[in-house]
Amino acid sequence: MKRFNLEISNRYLYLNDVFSNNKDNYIKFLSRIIQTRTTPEGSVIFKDGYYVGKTIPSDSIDTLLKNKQDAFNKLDANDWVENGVVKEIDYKINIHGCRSKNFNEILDKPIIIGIGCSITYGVGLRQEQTWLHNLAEKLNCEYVNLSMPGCSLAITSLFCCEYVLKIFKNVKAVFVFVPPPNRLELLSYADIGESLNPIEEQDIHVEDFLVDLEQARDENRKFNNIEKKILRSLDHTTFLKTLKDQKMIEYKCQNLNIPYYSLDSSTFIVPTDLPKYKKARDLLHDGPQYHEDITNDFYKMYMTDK
Amino acid sequence: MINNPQKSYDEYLSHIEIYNNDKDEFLSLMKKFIVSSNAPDEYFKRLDDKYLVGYYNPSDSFQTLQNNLKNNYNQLAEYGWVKDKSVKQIEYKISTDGWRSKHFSEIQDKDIIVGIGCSITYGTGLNQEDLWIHKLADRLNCEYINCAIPAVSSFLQSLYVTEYILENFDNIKGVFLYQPPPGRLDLLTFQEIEDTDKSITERNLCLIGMHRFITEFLESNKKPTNYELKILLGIFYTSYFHSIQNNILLKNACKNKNTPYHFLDSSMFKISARARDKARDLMHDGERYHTKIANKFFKMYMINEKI
Repeated sequence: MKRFNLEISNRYLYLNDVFSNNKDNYIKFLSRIIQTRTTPEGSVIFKDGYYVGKTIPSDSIDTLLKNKQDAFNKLDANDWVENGVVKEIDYKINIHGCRSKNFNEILDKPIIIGIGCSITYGVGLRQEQTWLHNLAEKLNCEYVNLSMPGCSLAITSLFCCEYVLKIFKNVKAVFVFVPPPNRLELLSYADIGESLNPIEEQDIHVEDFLVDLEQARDENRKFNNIEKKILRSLDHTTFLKTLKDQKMIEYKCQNLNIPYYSLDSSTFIVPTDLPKYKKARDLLHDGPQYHEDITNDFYKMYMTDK
Repeated sequence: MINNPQKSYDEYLSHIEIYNNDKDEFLSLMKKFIVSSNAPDEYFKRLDDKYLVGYYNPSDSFQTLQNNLKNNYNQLAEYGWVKDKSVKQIEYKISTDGWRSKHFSEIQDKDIIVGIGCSITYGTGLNQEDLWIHKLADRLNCEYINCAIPAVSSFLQSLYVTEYILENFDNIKGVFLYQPPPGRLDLLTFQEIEDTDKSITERNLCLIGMHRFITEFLESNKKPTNYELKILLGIFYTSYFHSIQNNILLKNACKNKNTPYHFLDSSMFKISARARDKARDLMHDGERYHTKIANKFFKMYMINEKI
């Protein structure tokens, strides 16, 4: 135990040193964590400063093949089939891991910032169908999409406060679409061997406590009382953590006189059973109409405030 | 929750409802975590003025003391913890708000400073007047709130300060964070498994540091799987970013209220070995260390005032 503690303490000093002396390292590190969730899968090409691919893990090649085989009619009914072929989606990620333009292209322009999870990222949707894209069009500005599918706001809120709000001088507003509850991430090494590399080279992944929980449930694993207490109390921990993520952005915005708005995905209820509410291509996420509703709500909030 | 995702969703909505519509209830929920973590170890009593008083706490426990008396008597004497062949008594006096400082009702209209931290700030193994926050308040001629919880990060304290203290106290001269050691990641949990079936407001909850599980894990000599090892080592990263978040949260909330904010990192705050003494548990630093922290914060505060 003593050895482990010492190691933690030394690592901390090392990390502090690496990040304090070179802010670039710190920002790159956060970007790398974001990229682990936003970079397309499969044959990704690097083109004009962007990573481009046709699928990402939650709208994966496997999902697509499975839906083509088992749910082709459903894909068709949700407008994802054209001339008998499933429509393609371009997932185009900038060098910081955001599904929006590279920062240097829009640094001096008015922008809005959108923060969230897979909904904000637009899993299963084309970029121009996402709520943030539509909102930016309505507000006649560019945008930065800070979202990580399957995650809470933990990393994106930090990246926003520590970097994006510092380098962009013309931010019209920040919009947070709060991810579904019970997400608590742990950063871990992609591979155990990574722990031996220098910090700035380590490959870090985001592990989700909830996924562990679901896996455990699937395996019908028996929990002891301590595990049960911890797992069941995730509700409390994640609620407070999410609240803090939001507050951190809100205070920072208040500090910089930037309007801040948030909508909670858990309380954002729309009649998705109506025919106009289609699904995203993965047939799991909500489709374009849902995004339009989010856009309209945020637009209304922004204009009312103005 | 484990077998019912819908319940988890409902739980979240209940939390949201409490937070949005009943701020008092939300704060009393947070208070439960605080009181359960800060209450003195066994044999404590409730005084007439409602303070909770005891003479031990989990790290400076009766057992630790017996052990030190038996095996480290000379050390206890060397650090001034023995008088007339008896070990000096320490009073752990906790307010109704859960902190080792006065009741809010007693200092509501007075000038105050706020200290945030872990067992160092709480003062494990030390008398209250030996703590850095007490000394700093003396020098700044004001009262104080000691928002410290032993053995955890500043996860809950930072939220409590921004959500409650900064909103309810008008005369805050400064907020001071003495950042806990690295590698701490906290979970809020139930005290008893039966509590999981109660409504949110009726549950007995407590705050635990995940490093306790790591300790248990390592001490069990169980061979970790690669996955477990990845998570264990990854906790270090997670906690690092959480600690940055706590700092940013406090910094910006204070800035919005025009309240001076100062920060010291316990990992970077070194004093010479000669100047070091020990608390009664012989694990934590002693009164001299606290004087140094108070001096450092005082200097930071005064420089800021001049600017």
